[in-house]
Amino acid sequence: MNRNSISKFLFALCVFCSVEFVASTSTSVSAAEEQPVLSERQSKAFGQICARCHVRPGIGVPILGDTAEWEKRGAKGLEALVANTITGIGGMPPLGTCGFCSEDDFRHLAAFMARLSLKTRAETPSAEHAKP
Amino acid sequence: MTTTRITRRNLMRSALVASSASLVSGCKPTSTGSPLEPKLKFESGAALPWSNWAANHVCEPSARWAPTSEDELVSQLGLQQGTVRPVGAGHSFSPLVPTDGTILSTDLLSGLISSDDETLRSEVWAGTRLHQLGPLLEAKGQALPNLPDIDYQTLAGATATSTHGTGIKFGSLSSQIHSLALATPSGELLECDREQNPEIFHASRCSLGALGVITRMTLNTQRPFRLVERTRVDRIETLLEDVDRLAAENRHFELYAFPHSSFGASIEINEAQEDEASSLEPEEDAAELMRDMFRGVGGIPGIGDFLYDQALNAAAEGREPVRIGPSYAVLAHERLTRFREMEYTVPADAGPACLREILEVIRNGFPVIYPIEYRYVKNDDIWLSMFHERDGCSISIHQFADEDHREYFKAVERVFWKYDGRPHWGKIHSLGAAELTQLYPNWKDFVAVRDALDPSGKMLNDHLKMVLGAGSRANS
Repeated sequence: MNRNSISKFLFALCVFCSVEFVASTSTSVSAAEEQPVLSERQSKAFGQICARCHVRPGIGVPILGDTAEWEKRGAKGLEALVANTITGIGGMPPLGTCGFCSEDDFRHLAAFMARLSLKTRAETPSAEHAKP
Repeated sequence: MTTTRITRRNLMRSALVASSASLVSGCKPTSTGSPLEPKLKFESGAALPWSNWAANHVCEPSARWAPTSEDELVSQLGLQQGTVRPVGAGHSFSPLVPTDGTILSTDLLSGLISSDDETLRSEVWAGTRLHQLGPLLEAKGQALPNLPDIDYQTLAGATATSTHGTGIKFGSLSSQIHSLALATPSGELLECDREQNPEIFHASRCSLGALGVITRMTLNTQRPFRLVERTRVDRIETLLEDVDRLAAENRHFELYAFPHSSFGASIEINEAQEDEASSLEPEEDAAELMRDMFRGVGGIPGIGDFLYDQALNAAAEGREPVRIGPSYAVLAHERLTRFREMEYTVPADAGPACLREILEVIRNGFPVIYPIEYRYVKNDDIWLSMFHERDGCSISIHQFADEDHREYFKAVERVFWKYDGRPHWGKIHSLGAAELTQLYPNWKDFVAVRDALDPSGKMLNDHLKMVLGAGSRANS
């Protein structure tokens, strides 16, 4: 199975069963590398929003699982990734078009994609349940 | 918008050819930079601001709310005291969302609810992103007849602005709504279609999010189908002279005009034959490369446009890119270059004259190269639709996000007005209620529905007060 096929397969999975896919993936790597486990809403954000670009090869964005690309970005540190995700950079729009994601959500999603540990930074207050 | 399928390698080769031919260094127009660069500031631990996709609108909402159920949305919306603005993907260039009150994200109300194989209709949550819809419907043996050319948006956001694709036989996405459920500002849930609450139905299929929040909608669909898209570059005048036939004979047709050149691109999309294998290689976005090329040669006094024309011609020579695949994959395109956009819809038969005049305005005063998008859309009966009771030709102009678009857009907007154009609700325009009321026969009907559903103006931000005339009753 080539890289394009793998990414198409990942995308289809994300569309049809994003929560299950992301949760199981993150669980499998978290034990060994202290990767974040995405909450249900973060998994939904990944499958519904992030996956639109980050599992499509050839469009100029780092795709999930492309270790070399993510290592380059991860070298800047998790906080730089979070800031870029929120303010936007290059083809990445501000907030990644996620209207509900909190800073904590963005941190988990960035760490998940870049395979970075959340332990490098103190927890920030979660706005996950911020309702009017 | 779609940029032409001119490859990076061909463009670079052409730029080199053109520069060599000039025997001089390219005169590079100085970019003034845009005073409208992203204003969003992030400070870890502080309240998160909100920004739209284009980063030309930023706000600091006092609350962000993402209901996880229809019941929660309906009950809590009724209890809200301040301004509430719904947001989908934030892809609108106009300030439909910004508020210092509450931003309500519909993203967590997404997915397919049910499908009816006999009527060919599917009910979906309104927060579903368009890129999810194709595969979801396909799994149920259904497909939308048409789609916009980008698919990042939510269904709710796209239909709130009558977002559309192209094809004179097809209406906007809003026109594909069979029925919908509207959570009102007072905390009711109204089921609406042509028989039940028909006036609210006609108003809410394109409502700018001013009537409440649409929670779910039932869409008219058809059986899944595959498309083949063929792109070719030709003289823009050749294409415009043949435009009626191209629009009539192709399932979907759109045209791109390249400013400061004599060329344009024709994109013709039709149903694929069974024996045509899918081929959906990733597209390259050539807009930045076209800008580099124009900067290299376009500013050379007297011959800049000629050289740019030659370079484009060389780049396109012998190339007719073809994409084949499921309808939703062919109709949507990647958009990674950040830009600002204005779009007006003029009567369909006025399209060629309007486009020619816009190209003349650019030629005489603006070093703009972003291709102009030209599409056709079928008429509908939606009160605030740009296609209300007339077939439309939608013409979109763009500018890179790092360049100032304002004088360019202002000049072209005057051309749109001359042709009785109606602005896209989600794109940049300068019209207020006094002008807009002249463009829509059912304007007063829409305002009456809005007044009845939201007398306190809970769903209105400053922009909506301006375009709807709410408060001043400019419409009455």
